[in-house]
Amino acid sequence: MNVYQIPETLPKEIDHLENLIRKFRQGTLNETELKANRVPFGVYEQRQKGTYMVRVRCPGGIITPQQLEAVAEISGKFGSKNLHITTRQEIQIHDVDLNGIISVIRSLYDVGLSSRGGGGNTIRNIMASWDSGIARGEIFDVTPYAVALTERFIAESDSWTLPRKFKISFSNSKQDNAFAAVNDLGFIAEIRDGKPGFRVYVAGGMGRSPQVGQLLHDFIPDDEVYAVARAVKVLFDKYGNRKNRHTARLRFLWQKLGREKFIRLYQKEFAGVKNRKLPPLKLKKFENRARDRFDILPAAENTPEFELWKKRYVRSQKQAGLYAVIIPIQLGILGISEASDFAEFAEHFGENAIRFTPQQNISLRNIPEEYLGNVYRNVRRVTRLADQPLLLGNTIVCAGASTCQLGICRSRDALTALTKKLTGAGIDLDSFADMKVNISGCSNACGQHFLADLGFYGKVGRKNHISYPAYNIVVGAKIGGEEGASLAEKIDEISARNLPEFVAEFLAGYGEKKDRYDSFTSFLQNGGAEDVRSICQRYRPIPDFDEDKNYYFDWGAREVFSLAGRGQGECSAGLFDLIEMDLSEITELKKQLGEAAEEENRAKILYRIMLLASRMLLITRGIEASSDDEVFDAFTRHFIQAKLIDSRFGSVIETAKSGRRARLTAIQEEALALAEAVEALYHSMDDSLRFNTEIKEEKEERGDEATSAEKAEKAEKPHLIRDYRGVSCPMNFVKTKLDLSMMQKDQILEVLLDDGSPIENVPRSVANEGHEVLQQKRIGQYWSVLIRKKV
Amino acid sequence: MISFTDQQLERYSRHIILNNVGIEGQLKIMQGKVLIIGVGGLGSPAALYLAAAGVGTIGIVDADKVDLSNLQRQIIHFTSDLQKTKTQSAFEKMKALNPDVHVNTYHLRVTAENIREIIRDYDFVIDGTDNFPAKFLINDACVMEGIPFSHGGILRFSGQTMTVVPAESACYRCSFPEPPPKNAVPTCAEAGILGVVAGMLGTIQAAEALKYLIKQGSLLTNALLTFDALKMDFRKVALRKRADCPLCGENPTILRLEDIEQAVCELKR
Ligand code: HEM
Ligand code: SF4
Ligand SMILES: [Zn+2]
Repeated sequence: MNVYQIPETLPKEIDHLENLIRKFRQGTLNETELKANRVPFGVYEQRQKGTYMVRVRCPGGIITPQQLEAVAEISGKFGSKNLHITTRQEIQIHDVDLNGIISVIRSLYDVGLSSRGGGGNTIRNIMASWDSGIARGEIFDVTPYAVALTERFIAESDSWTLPRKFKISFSNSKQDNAFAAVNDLGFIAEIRDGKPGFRVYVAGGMGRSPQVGQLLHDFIPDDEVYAVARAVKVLFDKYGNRKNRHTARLRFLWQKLGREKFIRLYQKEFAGVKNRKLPPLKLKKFENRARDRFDILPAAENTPEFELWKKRYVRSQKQAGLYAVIIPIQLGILGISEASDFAEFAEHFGENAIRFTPQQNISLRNIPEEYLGNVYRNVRRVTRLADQPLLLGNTIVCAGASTCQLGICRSRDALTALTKKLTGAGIDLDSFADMKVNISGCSNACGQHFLADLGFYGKVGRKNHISYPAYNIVVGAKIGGEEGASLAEKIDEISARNLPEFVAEFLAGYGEKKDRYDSFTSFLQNGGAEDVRSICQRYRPIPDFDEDKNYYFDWGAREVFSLAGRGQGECSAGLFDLIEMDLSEITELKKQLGEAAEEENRAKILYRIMLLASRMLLITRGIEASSDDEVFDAFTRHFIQAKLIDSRFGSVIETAKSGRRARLTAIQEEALALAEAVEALYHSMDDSLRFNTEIKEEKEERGDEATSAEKAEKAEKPHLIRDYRGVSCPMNFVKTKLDLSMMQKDQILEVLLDDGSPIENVPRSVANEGHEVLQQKRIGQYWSVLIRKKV
Repeated sequence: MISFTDQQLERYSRHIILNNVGIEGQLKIMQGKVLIIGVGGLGSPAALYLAAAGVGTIGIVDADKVDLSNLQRQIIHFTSDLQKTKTQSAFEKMKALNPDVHVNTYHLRVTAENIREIIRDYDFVIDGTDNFPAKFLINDACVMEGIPFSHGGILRFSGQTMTVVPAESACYRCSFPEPPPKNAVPTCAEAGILGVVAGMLGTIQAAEALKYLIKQGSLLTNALLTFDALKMDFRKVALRKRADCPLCGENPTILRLEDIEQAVCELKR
C-alpha cells in the first residue's frame, strides 16, 4: 500500500533536480540557484557543508512498515545511521552527500514516498491527530482528509511557489492534539446536524512572533475542505509578502489586512473556488482492525516493568480489544537498525499500524491485548526510554546551539541534564504524565515551547559584562477545549545552570499540591505562577565568573558561553533579547534619576546609563567588551567614528571615561541625549542589524523656549564644515551633495572652495538644486560658502 | 548608511551631479537589483550599462554558449570568448568594468518551474530573450510576482519595447493575449538583424531599469515604443490595461505558469 498518490510529474522534476546538481558539480550553476530548487524538494544543507538532509512527507504521520523499512535501508546506503522524526510527523534522512541526493529521492519514489515540499515556501507536511481513527473520544477519523488534501495539493504546481511555508493540520477532536489551532490552516473535526465537518482556523503559527489561529469558519461540511484549503492557498499566494521573509507567513498577512479585510478577500476566493465546482476530496479508508491471522505467538510478560509500561504507554482503542502504544524516541532520533527491526515487527499489525507523533515519537496501533508482551519486548529494543516516565518521553526539544546556527542555548544538553536531575530526584514523575515540558534553544520555537505547560527558550543573561546561557520560562499553553487556544506565556527566567534544579523543585512543589487543583492551568492561576517566580527569585543572583565558572558554560559546552560573532545572519533573536535588556535597565535608571536627590547618586546613575547606552548595540557589531573602558572605546570607534551617532557625543563619552563621574551631573542633558540617540538608532535597525541611514537629529524638545536671538545665532552656525580646497570640479560638487544628503533639512553646511571655477560653479549648482546659499565669503585665496539644506 | 568611497564618488560623479539622480539616486542604484534574462543582442548592452552605472546586484540568465554568429551584435562577448558560456563571458566583462557590482549568473533556461524563484530576488527584470514563449513566460511570471519589467523585441531593422508595472499598467498579454501561431512569426531564416538595432533597444531597456530604480521621470508604461532604424522613425502607441486580460484582468484565467511549446529554430542563435 502507498499512503498517498504521487503526481505523475514528480519523476520529471527529479530529473530536473538531477540536472541542476550535475551542473552545480561541473561548476556551471551557482549554489544559490541549486538551493532555490533543492530546498522546495525537502533537501536542506546541514551545518557541515556538502552534506544534506532529506525530509520525507508523511501526511498524518503515517508510514507503512514496508516504507519505514525502505527508508532505513536508504539511509543506510546513502545517509547516516540515524533517522530523525520531526514535530510535523515526518521522517528525515541525514548526512546525504551531493551525489546521493538523487538516489535517495528516486529510492523514496520507488516506495511511494516524496520529499517535495519538505522545505522552502511550500505546502508542508499535512498533520493529523496521531490517534485519529482509534481514539475513544474522537469525533471521527480525520486521516483520510489529511491524505486526500495532500494528494491534491502536491499535484498543484502553485503549492511549491508560495510566499512562505504553509502548514496545515487536522485534529480529530477539540483536544486538538495535532495543533490545528497553531497552524496556518487548521481543521478540527465536528459533527453538526449529523453531518461530519470541521471548525476551521487560519493564520496561526509559532516562531518569533507566534499567533494562535483565528476562527475562519465556525463549521464547514466535510465536502468543502478542499475549497477552503484552496481558497486560503490562493489568497496567500496572491497577497502574501514575498519581499520580506520575516513577515511572510500567513499570520502577518492577517495582521496587515486585519480580520475584516482578510475575511472579505478570502470569501471572494472561496466563492471563486466553489464556483469552479472542483471535485471534492477523494477519501480513502484507513482500516483499524486486527489482522485476521498472526504468524507470531503471543508472548506472555508479567514483570512489574511490563505493568508499569502498560500504564504509561498503552491506550485502549475505540475498537474493542485493540490497543495502541506510544514508543518514546529520545530527541526523535531513531537508529536505522532499530527502525528496520521495528518496521519488520510492525508488519504483523498491518499496513496502517504506524504513526509518527508531534512529540517526535512513534505510535503503533491495532494490537490485540495478547500481543502487548511482544510489543513491549520490541519496544525495549527500539528505545532507551521504554522504562522511563511519559513526561520524559513526551518532552520536545529542538536541535539547539550544539548543531543549529541560530541557537543560543544547547537545548538538547539541557534536556540531558534535566533528565539526569529528575530521575535522581525522588519525584514521582508518573504523576505528571500528561504534562508537557518543551525546550527551544532560542526564540524561534522549534522546540514548541509555546505549546508547553512548562516551556523554556534560550536567551542570553549577562553579569558584569559577561554573558551566560539562560532560559525564558513560559507556562500554561492551552490547546484544545472550548475557549479556544492560547500559547504559553513568559513569566520569568532562569540560568541554564539552574534549569534542572528549577524544574525539579517546581515539580516537587506542584506534586504536593496537585490533588487540590483540577488542572495545571488552575494550579497556575491559583499560586502556581507565584511558585515559579519565587523559585526563580531564589536563583536570581548568579555567582560571579570568578566564584563559579559553571554558570558561564552551557550544558555540554567546552567553551565559555559567548554570542559574539554569532547570529549576524537572518535570525538574531538572542541579540534582540540582550539589547532589550540594556534598554529596559536604562528606562528604569532614568526613573531612578528623577527620584535621586544626592549628587553622588545621580552621577552614578548617569554613568551607568551612559555605559549601557554605549554597550547596548555593540553586540550588533559582533563585539563583547569586557570592561567599561573597552565599552566606551568600542562605542567611539564603531558608532561615533562610523558616523552612526553624532560626533558631538564624543566629549561626554570622554568625561565618563575619564573617571571624573561627578562632572556628569553638569552635563546630564547630554548624557541622556546620548541614550536617546542610541535608542533611536536601535529602532531604526532592521532584522539584518542594519541601521537606517540618517544621522539622528539633535533633540531640542526641551520645555524652555530659547530666545529668538539665541535661535537665530544657532541657526547660522554650520552643522558641518568641509574643506574642499584642492578638489577640482565636479568632484567638489559631488562631495558637497554627499554632505548635504546626510544632513537634516534646514541644517547648515559650510564648504571651503578654491577661487576660480569652483567658486563660480558649486554655489550655483547647489542653488539650482533648491538649496539656499546663505553666504559666500572670500578668505585670502579661497572661499567659505554657507549652504542651508532645503530639500 | 550612506557610504561612498572617494573612488565611488568619482566613478559615479556624472550621475551624482545630475539633479534627478544625485546621491540618493546613486544610492538607490547601488542598492538596486536587476535581472537580465538573455545576454544576447539586447542583454549585452543592458548588462554593460547597468554594470557601469553601479547597479548593486545584476543577475544574468542564459543557457547558451558564445557562438561566432553572435559577435556581430552581442557586444559583451569577444572573439576570445567563443565556446564559453554566455553567462561566464558576460560575468567577466561586467566585473572588469565595475568590480563593485555583484553579478549572479544563472546558466539555465527560464522555465515555468524555475522562473518565479529566480526573479523574486530582483527589483526589475529586463527581457532580453529572442522567442515568444520566453517573452510570455517572463510577462506572466513578473505579473504573478508583481515585479516590473521591460519587454523588448527586435527584428531586422526594427524594435519594440514596453515597460510593465504589474497591477498598475498594461501587461504584455493585455495587448497580445496569446503567443502568435507558430507560422505567423517570421521563420528563423527570415529573421536577420542589423546589429546596432539590438544596441539601440537594449540601452532603452537599461534606461527604464535605472529610471525605475531611482523613481524619476515616467516609465514607458501603457505604451509600446516602436522604431524603424531604416527610416529612423520612432513611434509611441498608447496601450491600456484591459479588465478582461487573461492574466492581469479581473477574472484571470491564467492562474499558473506553463511552458509554451516553441517552434524550434534550426539556426544557431
Ligand atoms: C537545526 C537548525 C534549525 C534551524 C536553523 C531552524 C530555524 C527555524 C526558524 C528560523 C524558525 C522560524 C520560522 C518562521 O517563523 O517562519 C523555525 C520554526 C520552527 N522550526 Fe525550526 N529550525 C531548525 C531545526 C528544527 C528542528 C530540528 C525542528 C523539529 C524537529 C524544527 C521545528 C520547527 C517548528 C515546529 C517551527 C515553528 C513553525 C511554525 O511557525 O509553526 N526546527 N525554525
Ligand atoms: S529554536 Fe532556535 S536553536 Fe532551536 S532549532 Fe530552532 S532556531 Fe535552532
Ligand atoms: Zn494584462
